[in-house]
Amino acid sequence: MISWARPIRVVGVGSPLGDDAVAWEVIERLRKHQAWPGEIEFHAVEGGQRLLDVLDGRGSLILIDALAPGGNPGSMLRFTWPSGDLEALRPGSTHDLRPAEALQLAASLGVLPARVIIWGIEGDGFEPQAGISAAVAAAVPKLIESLAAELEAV
Amino acid sequence: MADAPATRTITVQALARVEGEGGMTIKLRDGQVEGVELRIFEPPRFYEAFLRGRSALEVPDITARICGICPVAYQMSSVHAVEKIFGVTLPPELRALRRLLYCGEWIESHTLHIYMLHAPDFLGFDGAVSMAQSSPELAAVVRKALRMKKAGNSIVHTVGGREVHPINVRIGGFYRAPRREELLALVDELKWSRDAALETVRWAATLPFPDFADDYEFVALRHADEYPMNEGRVVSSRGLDIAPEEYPDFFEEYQVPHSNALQARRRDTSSAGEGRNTSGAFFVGPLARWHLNADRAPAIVQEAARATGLTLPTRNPFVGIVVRALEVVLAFDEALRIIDGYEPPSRPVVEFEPHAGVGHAVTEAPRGILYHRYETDAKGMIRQATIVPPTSQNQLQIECDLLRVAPSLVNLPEAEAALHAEKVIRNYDPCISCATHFLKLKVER
Repeated sequence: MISWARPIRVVGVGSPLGDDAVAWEVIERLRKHQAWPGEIEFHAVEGGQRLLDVLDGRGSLILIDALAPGGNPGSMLRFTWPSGDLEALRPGSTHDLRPAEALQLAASLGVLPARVIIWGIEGDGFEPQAGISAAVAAAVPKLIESLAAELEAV
Repeated sequence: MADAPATRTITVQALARVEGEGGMTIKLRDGQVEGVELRIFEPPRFYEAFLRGRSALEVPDITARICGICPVAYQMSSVHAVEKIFGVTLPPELRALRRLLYCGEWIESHTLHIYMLHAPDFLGFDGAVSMAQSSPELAAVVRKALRMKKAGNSIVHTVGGREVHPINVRIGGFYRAPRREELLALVDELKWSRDAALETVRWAATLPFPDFADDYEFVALRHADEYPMNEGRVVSSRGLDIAPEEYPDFFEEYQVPHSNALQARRRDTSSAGEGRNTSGAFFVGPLARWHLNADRAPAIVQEAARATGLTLPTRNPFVGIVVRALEVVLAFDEALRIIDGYEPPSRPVVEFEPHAGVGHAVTEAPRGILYHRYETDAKGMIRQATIVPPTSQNQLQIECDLLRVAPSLVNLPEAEAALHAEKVIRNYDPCISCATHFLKLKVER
């Protein structure tokens, strides 16, 4: 039994471009394995505006996203929001919000859940149709394990 | 030292609210503008290559992935181009469903741009976050925008099968037609949203617009009796009037060294006589659509336009935010009209036989016309694909606008100059970011 505030939403932000799809892959596997039946909503979204769509101020949020390459593809980072590192990122798009921007906007609109955890997996390549790289694919089960450990911890 | 050339380059590596691969350089020499370059990363180029050798039946699903904001536009241009090859004619109810799906995307895309990306430019904020944080009133405005956008999402979800990269469109129609009850369930929210959209028009019309206009050549679709989305002839404010199949005869794409996106320009610039378009630049998107099709808008939208007190159509691209708002009213109104008359078709798809041929289609993406051309072999496999997105078409015009404002930027601090230039670019709602959006993050430990 998970003790987190309900609804618990696990949201993967991604795109079909190479390792940027890793968060979608995590969500897909969690759905397939019917992880925590009835206890968790899973969402695969593209971009910050779609992230905003699933927030209503209630419950808990776990956000998963790819990280820009930094030399260690497949390595994972965990943040709790608010996190100074993420808020400092500047706005990024003509027609979308970055995930961190969406979280800030959600906070100012009063629709950000009280508990927000962010998991990032460092990507390697982001070419269209390249698929997820081996190093990043190897990180997916590790991330799922970490999520499970965190959710099920008493 | 007095006669040394005073060169200065203003470079914006990653335009704020423009995806990281986009950038802009204005080169000044002795206070004079030497050149303006807009750099755009443009994945459709890759997709043209991927599509070769794939079945034409896969094209709508593959092209939907080009863009997370306007996947329906890519589906619509591709599906209609392939259907032209296979001789598919849709019955009215399937045609109406395609239009309804497009309404959903216009709502999503326009609402996002109006409130989250463009309004902050006029109100002096660096983005939607600071705008929403500035006052409870503006927070309420953003909340309203998100609710309207969700109403658009619900249309795309119900007709397209899901909100992101919809999967329900297929050559010949749809995989599944929604039940009437599914669409009726959307009506209350769409009615609220249409009212909210009318308020948006009134609000947008009060924004402070800089005095800025040019003798643009506007290019858009024009349909016999509808405000254009999926069908029509390609027309321009300088008298162009061609079938979509003739697009390659009148427009061309060409490479510029500073951008990996191709730019597009008019081909026939030398023969247009007096007032001819010498640069080849042209303008697509809401301002162009309204300029060429205001008489096709429903009465409620025309009345909303009159009530703004603005002179519409306009040649001021900053007023594009008002026109976008009018198109949101139009999309909600059209959606309600289509749902009201909807009866599920007996079959969601019409029969066809794949064969060899060439098909072209132009549809109106939220940010302007989107041209697709496909060539198939006897088995219906793609031999060649050409995709000309609206932003490629606007890119030369954006550079022309930047050239015009560049002299006024010379003496401004760099950050301020960059912001002014960005505002000019944002008027076009450029789809620069059909790219990744991963967190650009550096953590030093």
